[in-house]
Amino acid sequence: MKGQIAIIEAILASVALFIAFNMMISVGEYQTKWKESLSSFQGRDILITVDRLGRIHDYSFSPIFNSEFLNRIDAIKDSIIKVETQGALKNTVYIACDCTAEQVTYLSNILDDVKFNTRGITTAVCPTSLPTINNCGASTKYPNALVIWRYDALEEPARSALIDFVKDGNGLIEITDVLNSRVDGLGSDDEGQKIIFGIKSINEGNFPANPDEFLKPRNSSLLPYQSYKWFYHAPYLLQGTMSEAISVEGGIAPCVTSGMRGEFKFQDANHRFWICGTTSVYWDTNGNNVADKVVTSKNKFSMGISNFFLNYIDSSTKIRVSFKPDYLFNDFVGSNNANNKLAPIDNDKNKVLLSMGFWDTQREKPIAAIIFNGTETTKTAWVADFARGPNGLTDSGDDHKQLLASLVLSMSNKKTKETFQQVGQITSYINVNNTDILEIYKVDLSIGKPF
Amino acid sequence: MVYKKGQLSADFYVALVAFIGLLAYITFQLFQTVPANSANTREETIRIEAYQISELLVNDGGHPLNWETIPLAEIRRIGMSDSMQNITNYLSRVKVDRLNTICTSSTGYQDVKNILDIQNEFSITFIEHTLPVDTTWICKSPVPTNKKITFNVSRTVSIDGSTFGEIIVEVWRV
Repeated sequence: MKGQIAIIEAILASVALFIAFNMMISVGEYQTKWKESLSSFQGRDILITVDRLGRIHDYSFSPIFNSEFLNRIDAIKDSIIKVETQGALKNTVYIACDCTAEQVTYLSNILDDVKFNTRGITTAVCPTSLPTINNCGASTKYPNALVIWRYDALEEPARSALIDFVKDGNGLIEITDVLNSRVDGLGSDDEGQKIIFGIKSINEGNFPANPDEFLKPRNSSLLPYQSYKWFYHAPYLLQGTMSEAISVEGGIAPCVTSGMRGEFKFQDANHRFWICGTTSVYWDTNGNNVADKVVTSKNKFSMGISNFFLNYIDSSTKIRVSFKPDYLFNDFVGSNNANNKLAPIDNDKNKVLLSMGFWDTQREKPIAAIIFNGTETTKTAWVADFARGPNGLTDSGDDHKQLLASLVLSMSNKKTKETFQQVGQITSYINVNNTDILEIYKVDLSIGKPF
Repeated sequence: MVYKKGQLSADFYVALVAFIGLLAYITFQLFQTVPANSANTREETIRIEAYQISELLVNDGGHPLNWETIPLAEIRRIGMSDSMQNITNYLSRVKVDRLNTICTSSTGYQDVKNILDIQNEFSITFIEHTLPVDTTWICKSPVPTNKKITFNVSRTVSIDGSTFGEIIVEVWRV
């Protein structure tokens, strides 16, 4: 028995020593990850080089990044390359509209030729009928934004469809006059309006005869900020349609050629303008159909109490202007006291973008014309129906169109929905462009090997 | 226990076998691990040197900063970064052209090797992506050598902020 125990001891000791030596002698393989590092700094080099060439903004939104640059780099010829931009308006924006054919056309015309920060945006506007939300041909389940341009009691299943749509990060805009009794909390309310658009009616007196003014957001995190920024910065397209000689007054230098005449309608009044070649624009500021002001590109000008900025003279028929603070709308909320006495459901006045003044002297209760709800990524807006007049959309002006375009574009989903499969190392680059509107976005470049 | 002359106990034999086994195992492990690690270290040195050269060429302005204008003997370090801009991946065309000029001379390869204190063999390929065809030059040894361990690093750069190109640094051990 004694001999057996000794043998067992020896075997155990051998095993222990074997394990100990194995741990001491075997050296763990040092993971240098050169392959990943090379892909990573190749991505960094490429994005920095593109920035040094002053092309990062162009390339971020265009397939020419591949054809002009990436396809020519020998080092990544056999790599899988993917470029995505996050946080900026996409090149193509899909907008569904639960509205009439006339309203769809109106919306399409407004968004037909959008240009800002030196790039053009393509929009696809299509009709839809709740609870179905047409994706307008997008590769995603939903379009980027949905406009409901009529009153619709938001019952099931439309309510759930809208909640899902908003949770997906898409923008929802409702343009309608809402009966106060629908959201007054006194029974038979339209709960969908309260839940989705966060509105309630308030018991106040008659509407005053005030113009509608913007409530300037105090900081950029407030819900109306992006739309406010877009309204005052996005260049609005105006077109000259008729060639004629330009009559001038007030001692301004005449245009040596005839100009293309167009009309700019705001605050319910038409103002003629003439595009003189591609260098200047003549404006009739006093409504007598004679030009009394000449403006060249990148200059401010005023008409009455309103201020503008001439962003671009695209051609002899197209110019782009932006509205400048403090712009006032006429009759946005309406005067029917049975409608639109609305407030944010949580009484947060920071959710109001446009108001016809205040109900109280402390300026805590705005007479709201546009109310936002949700969060930065799940945003909805109720807008009073500015086209309620007897002539409908014909009465609306370029100011209304600019506001509607600002709401749609600022609220549309800016997140890339395409599956970003991680095929390699992703390099991110933050870029800022402030040519017309401040845009801060992230460019992701992924470089990977096929195997 | 009864011992016979010339015979050892079973315990001793077991212990001896265990000891020899362990000794053999340790020896085997050492012979296997040490050369592998040495090879890895050599390979790593090659990679590090390739990256260092590429970083010097791309993001360093050289010493003195105006090295492209002075005689070769006075150049302390070569770097093609534009000193006026002082930003990464932005090369000076004058410095690029000067390096090309140095490389094309008969002793150019050895001069670059000495100035940059490169321990191994190397080549620097410069490709400028111009239209309609790329412009390319190579700085390499005039004498062909065998490549045992080789590694190359490719860097993308802008030249004077107007065109873009690639610098491919290859380093190898003979």
